[in-house]
Amino acid sequence: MNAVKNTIEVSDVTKRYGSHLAVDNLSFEVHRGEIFSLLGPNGAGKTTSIRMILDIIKPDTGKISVLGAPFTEATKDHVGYLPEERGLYRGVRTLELLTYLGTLKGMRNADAAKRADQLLDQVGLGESKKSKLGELSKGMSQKVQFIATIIHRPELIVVDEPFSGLDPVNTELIKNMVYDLKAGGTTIVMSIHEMHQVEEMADRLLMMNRGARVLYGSVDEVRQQYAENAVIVSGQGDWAAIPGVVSVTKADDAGRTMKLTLNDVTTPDMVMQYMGATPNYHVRSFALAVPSLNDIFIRVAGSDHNGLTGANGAHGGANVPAPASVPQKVRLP
Amino acid sequence: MSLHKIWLILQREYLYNIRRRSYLFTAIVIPIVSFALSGLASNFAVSQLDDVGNYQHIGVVDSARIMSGIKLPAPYVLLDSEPIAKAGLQNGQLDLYYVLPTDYVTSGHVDSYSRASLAPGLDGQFLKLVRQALATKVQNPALITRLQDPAPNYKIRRLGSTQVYDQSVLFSSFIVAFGFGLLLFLSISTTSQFLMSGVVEEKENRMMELLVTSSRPSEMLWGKILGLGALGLTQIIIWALLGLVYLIVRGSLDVGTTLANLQITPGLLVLIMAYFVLGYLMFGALMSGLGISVNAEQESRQLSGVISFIAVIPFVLIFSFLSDPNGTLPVIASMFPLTAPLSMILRMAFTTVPPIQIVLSLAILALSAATAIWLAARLFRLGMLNYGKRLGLRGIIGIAFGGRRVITSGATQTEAKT
Repeated sequence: MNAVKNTIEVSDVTKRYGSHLAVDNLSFEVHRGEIFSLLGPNGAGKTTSIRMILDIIKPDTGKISVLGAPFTEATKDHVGYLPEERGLYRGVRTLELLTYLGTLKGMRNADAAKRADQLLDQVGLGESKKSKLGELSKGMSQKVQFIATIIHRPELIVVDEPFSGLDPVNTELIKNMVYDLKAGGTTIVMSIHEMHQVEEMADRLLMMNRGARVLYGSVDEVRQQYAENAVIVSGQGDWAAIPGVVSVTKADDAGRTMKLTLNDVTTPDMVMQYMGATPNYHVRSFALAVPSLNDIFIRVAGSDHNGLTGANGAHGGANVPAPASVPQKVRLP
Repeated sequence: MSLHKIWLILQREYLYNIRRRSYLFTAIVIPIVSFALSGLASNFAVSQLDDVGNYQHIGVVDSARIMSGIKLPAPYVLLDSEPIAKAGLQNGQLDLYYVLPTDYVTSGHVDSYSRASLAPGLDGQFLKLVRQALATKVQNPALITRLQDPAPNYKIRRLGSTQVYDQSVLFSSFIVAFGFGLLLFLSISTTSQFLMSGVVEEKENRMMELLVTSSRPSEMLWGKILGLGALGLTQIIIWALLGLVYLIVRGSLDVGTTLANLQITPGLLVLIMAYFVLGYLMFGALMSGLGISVNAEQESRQLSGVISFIAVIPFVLIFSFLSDPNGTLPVIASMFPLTAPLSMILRMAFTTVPPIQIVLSLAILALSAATAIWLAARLFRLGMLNYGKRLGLRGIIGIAFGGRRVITSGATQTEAKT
């Protein structure tokens, strides 16, 4: 399977629940060895897509290939899954459960027990190996569940909201384990709400809204595509007097940084040069106005009634299926 | 299907559930307590009715003049009149006395007087003495024996059956029928509870989603049914061993004789096994299917109760089976899959069942078991992710006939398969 470039290929997949269109003609690829982030407001169809990728439910139409072939029973041994709604047997001991789940994924019993033991030590649960899962705190059992996802050294892991409910220390711990997996060649698909995590961790992303793809590409590309011709500055000076500046607005609520929107013929370099050459400008910081993914998320997910043609148009419409019909409502987070 | 994964799931289900307190309670504490109680109860009954060892002197006032033919053994003493007996009771020389009035032979009237405690009846030994005394009034000695035990050596034959029943065979038949019925009922009620609560737990704690990405629904189903079947079998063995120990200790069962009298031919054994296995598979699949379809443990208990009750209906109708094993009701009950295993074993114990009926009943049962397993596997595949929703009858029928029941953000809908 090493020769396969794309770990996941989803082509023209549609899934309806009765009259509700859960996933609408969706296509995307996940490259081997990358961290791929799945974004979108609640009800966008992320979990349905994940469940179709993992063959828990079948698509109505379209094709999905995982690790280079349609999903089979053999595929299950090479895939790890952390469901969004989590839970484990409460009355079973930690080490015992992880060993069992490892063997279900095709590991030998001794191997599974050894690796479970080792991973529990790694996440700081060495003391809890003999504890029943019902006795663990929420954060602890979430770490156990993460171990269950990776114990069998899968080639692909699909994690749905891996950081929800974790404190910053444990978030960092899991994040580093994800990086280690990536370094080891594992492909990671993450459905995630925390935008800063996506910006920090993901190589590429797919944003869905109402079952359809609205953003798709590398994180940098997406941010660039949403960039305006504007700069963010802080310091002192008459910003509006700079040639080519069309408007000056507060870039944060307190007004410590300002956003200078430029006309079409002015580049940020020209603004910087002008300020350097002109007295009375004291610049503490100067940056391109690249929107955060959070801004893009809110813009895309929150602008339903204006349609999302801009977003689609900006991303090579060839790949982006136009929604057949515009759904009337979306539930926002 | 991977046998290895079925084996893993089977092992987990068995080892997990066998350590549960509720299982240990059902398997060990309940039989010990119930044997102890039944032991106490029968001891009590014996001491009240038959065992006169506690009494020093029991007076008999024979106004009817019937005891003259025999000599009364201790502790019985013949007294001349009631006032003497009464005085004896009052001053503690007597523990108890009986009065047979002059009109006893025609009226059957007997009076018993005791001090404080009220015996629940006349002691059996006294009644035996009266019977002996009455028999001496008959001249023919052979008649006396028959009078006391009219039919110790009987044989029963049924029209159309070559089997001859005597007392020991009848007793063995009862043992087989009741033993089988009890075992079936026990394994069904044990497994139904554990199977259902296991599935409901996995739905509630979301293990299901993890399991379904590690194994096939059919592997999960088989692993669970077989694992819990083994658990039920373990329970049966524990009960049987405890029961055997109890009977041997009490000395009320000559184990060797009873076993020798158990007329179980290899053919009958195969049939019993077939009904047992098919019946268990059908009930096991039904219970798992229901477990996946209901939402709360409470609900699952009620449903499993209903199914267990249907399974033991033949016990309720035991007199129909005894009086006419080939009658309409027993025949229907032995065809209906839920009651077939127990009914057919009862019938086979009491009569010769036409082979065609056995074949038909086994075929119906096998088909029902296969259908139940198929339906349960389908419910596992499609119903397990319906968190927080209960599959109604319509939903189950929908799944059975190719529809797909799904949960959308707001409503539950049934969608025809495309």
